[in-house]
Amino acid sequence: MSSRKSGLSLDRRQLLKVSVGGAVALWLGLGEQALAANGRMKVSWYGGQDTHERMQKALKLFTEKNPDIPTTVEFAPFNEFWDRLPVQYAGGGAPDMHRHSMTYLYSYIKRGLLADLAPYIGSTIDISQLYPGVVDIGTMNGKTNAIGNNQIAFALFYNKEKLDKAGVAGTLDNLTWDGFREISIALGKAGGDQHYGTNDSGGVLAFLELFVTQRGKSLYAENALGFEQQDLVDWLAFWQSMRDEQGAPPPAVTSESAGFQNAPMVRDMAAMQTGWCQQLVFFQALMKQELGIHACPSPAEGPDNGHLIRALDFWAVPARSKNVDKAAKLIDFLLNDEEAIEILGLTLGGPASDKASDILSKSVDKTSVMVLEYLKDLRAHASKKTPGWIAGHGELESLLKRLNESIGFAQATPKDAADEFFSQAVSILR
Amino acid sequence: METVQTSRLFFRRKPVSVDALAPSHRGEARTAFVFLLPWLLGLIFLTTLPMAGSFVLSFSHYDLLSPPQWIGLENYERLLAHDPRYLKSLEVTTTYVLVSVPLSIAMALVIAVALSQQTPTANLFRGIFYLPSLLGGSVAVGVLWRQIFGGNGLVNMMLGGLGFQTTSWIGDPRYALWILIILHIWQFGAPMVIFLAGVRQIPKEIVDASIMDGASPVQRFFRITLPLLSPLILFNLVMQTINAFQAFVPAFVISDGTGGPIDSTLFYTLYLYVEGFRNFRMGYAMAMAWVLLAIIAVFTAISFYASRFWVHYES
Repeated sequence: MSSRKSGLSLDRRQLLKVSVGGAVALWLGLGEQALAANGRMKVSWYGGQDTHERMQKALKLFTEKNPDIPTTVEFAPFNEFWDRLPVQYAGGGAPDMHRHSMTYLYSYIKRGLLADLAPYIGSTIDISQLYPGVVDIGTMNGKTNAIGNNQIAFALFYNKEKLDKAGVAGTLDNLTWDGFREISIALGKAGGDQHYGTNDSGGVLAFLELFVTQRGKSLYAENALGFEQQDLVDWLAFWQSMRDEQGAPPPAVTSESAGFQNAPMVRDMAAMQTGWCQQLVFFQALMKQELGIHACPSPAEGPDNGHLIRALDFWAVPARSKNVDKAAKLIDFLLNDEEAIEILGLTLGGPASDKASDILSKSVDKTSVMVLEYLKDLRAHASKKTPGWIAGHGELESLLKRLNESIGFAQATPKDAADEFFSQAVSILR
Repeated sequence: METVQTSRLFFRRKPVSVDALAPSHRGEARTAFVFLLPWLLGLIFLTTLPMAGSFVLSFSHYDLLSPPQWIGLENYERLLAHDPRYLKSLEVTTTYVLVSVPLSIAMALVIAVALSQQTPTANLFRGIFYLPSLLGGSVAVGVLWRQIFGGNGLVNMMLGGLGFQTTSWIGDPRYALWILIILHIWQFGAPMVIFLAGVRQIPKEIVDASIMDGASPVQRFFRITLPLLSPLILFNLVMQTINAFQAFVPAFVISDGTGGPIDSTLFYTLYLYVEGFRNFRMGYAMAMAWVLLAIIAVFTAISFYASRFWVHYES
């Protein structure tokens, strides 16, 4: 009787026991769930909406083919991704496999934060089809800390209609720097007030790299700059001369042009735009007028045109990940699986193998085919080197942008700016 | 009269131990403690400990990715002597605070006095004027500001229509900071609400008496309203100064996280963020945070010290 009664109405002590017990049960339950999440492989990447959709689709296919490897995903735009990743590494919550950018790759390799994938190469990860360089560029001291997920090159995009109208369409072949300047100025003048030839690329470090490569130098040599101060003065002066005559927009326009939708070409203020070749697809999506793609200017003579075709984004695995073997499986899948290659298209950049290039040229749209053709043609003329960047590249990039800007606003001369760049580079690259 | 009296906000009382209380109060004190516990735990684990941690790390070289190394005062030395960009950020932030805080308080005061009448339309306008502050430092407002003051923005469309030469206001280092200052002044709602409450508490007898004596509205404002509101002005001044020193979102959104053009909108906290998260100098960023705390403390102390010369406490 009494037991029945206590079953019906709880006194305070019992209530306490029940709630404590309930809380413990709840906590255990959650703990179990958290453990389950630990068993899942966390995959993360940066990119735009298109990248997020395609990556998720590819991962779904991966899980279908490998039901024993459940995954969770995390994705963000480039800047947010890179603000978050160091914190995740510091706090121990880094994803098991993630996209890495050459801008920051060597900051992570230097500190021994990435797992060595070399033991998986040949067994789990098939690299036989990949272009030479895709693996090398993430390999240092015999350790492969990252494997490229693309191969891309710098390129010049142009609005066909505007070039036709200005009568300069035929002049792109064998484009020299002087020719580039003349065309840009002609296009700016043809457009009239507030129109320019191309975007101001004086602050783009990767474009400067192309420029110094054409002079037989490199962006970096060991842990320092690999070119001379005079090279930078020439580079900055070139862009100053572009701005002076409507070849490139004034700095006030440039400082507002971050993001594809704000590019002067998209805003109908410029006829050309420089960028990474696969960005043609992103720019075309924002414009009605048809775009073309061409190699960047190069000097009349020289063994090659100084363009570098190399992996700029990678797949990497944290050294602390417990799922390195599973991550290796996924890397192989994303690089070699024919369906995955087709799903991803050009969203991660140009293809990393001839196999991928062939699959894509049959499946992608007209604009993407232009990118594939561009890379194919370029391979015949480009440099064979695939130099990597070094830790501190990201900071140097914003420094160059700022200095190019201050020349534009007449607060420094190209000489001052080059001095400043070299003196700051010493402490940044230290 | 019952205006908030800032000096009276702080009073001391001897701490009393629980054992010294009468038994009936002892239980009460314990209950109070239990109710305070969630907040106390938050204070200790989410505020005090991280703050202590950041203070210790400010003496280290810490890049987030590898273990911190003790480097003594090097971060502080670099801040004060070897980092022109830091000094630039200090200059930008101080200009922002010194210009936008007084103007936004003046704006809030004027609007509050103008809207102090108890009419239905005044209520409506109070709501409307408060709206920008509800949107506050939100990203949406930053984006909106870009649309208004950008190269192809609303302002340029109007100026261009009138035949003026236009420039991108946020893309030009001469004007970019001033656009942010205007944005701050525009968000005067919070101090305005506080002033409104203060204006309503001014005793009607005093106002009536001054009208009888033939004081003009301007005289009434300067001789009655302003002195009686001075404690609130001090309060708003201190709060707004602290807020303005910590401003981050508007500069981040409008300059795309760069503080550009050429560092003209490089707010203190924005530079701190860039150094800590983009350039892997978290130890340095923490040193910056502690120096900012000191700067804010000094400005607050000056405000309080100077207040004895102009704040009028009626008692």
